[in-house]
Amino acid sequence: MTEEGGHGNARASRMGMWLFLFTEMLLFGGLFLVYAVYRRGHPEAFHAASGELSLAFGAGNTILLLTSSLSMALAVAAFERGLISRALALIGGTIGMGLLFLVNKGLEWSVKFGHGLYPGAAVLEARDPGERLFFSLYFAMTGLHGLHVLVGAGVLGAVVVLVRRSGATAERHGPLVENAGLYWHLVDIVWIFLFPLFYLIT
Amino acid sequence: MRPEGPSSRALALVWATLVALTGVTIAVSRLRIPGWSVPVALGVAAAKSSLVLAVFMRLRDEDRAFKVMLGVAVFTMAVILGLTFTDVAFR
Repeated sequence: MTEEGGHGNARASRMGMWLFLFTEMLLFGGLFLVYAVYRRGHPEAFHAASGELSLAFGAGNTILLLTSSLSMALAVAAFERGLISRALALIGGTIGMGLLFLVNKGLEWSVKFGHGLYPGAAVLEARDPGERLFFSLYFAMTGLHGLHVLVGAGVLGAVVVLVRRSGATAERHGPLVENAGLYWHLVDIVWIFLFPLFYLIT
Repeated sequence: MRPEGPSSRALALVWATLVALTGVTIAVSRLRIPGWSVPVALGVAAAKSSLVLAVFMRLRDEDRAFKVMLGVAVFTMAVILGLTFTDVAFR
């Protein structure tokens, strides 16, 4: 493989990743559309229900994901400069923060479940239809996002294992590390929109 | 070939800006100014995403094809949202 061919492959590989990320954008975009339509139909109920979410959990998780993205970007930069073990440590930090995000999400959800605020619960069924819609969307959208965090952490874990096993070089494994990073950043961007729309519209 | 990626210092600076913007959007929502909470929240979220896309995801270092692709995706979403609201808004 020529030097030129190598770079061409790296570029094509990133482009494929971006194309996949656009399909992810449209997936979440569809859910945001549903949110926007129902919010327009039930503005007061959405405001009231939003006030019941914990701003501390939401804000804390936002900082956590932003910091995990910084760690990921630093890992890609370190990998590119050939600092492999430093890059792997930074990816480990990203995975750790991602898992902590999920622990927080789990705690937050279990508090809501404890109050009978989950789809199908008698307490929630008795409330205003707009509030029922709000909580259904909250669980569906943060749930799908949480699934993406879990998958992202799994992908990053697999990257660490692969790189460790095969004696990585910046040339050979650069695209792999970078594409995993792109996925992680997209999951961060989705949360950047979820956070204000669910926690801040009171 | 792409130019070299952003320095650690630049990445840390972007992170600090993202955290500061999170503070801004929370503070503005606490003020409860009628009619402003959604535009400010979406504006700040758009600014934060642009920073992540441009620097963390290195879109600014990519060639034009990547930016055109992002433009097409964003345009598609805008059309879907816009057309839906031409229906919903006039019911």
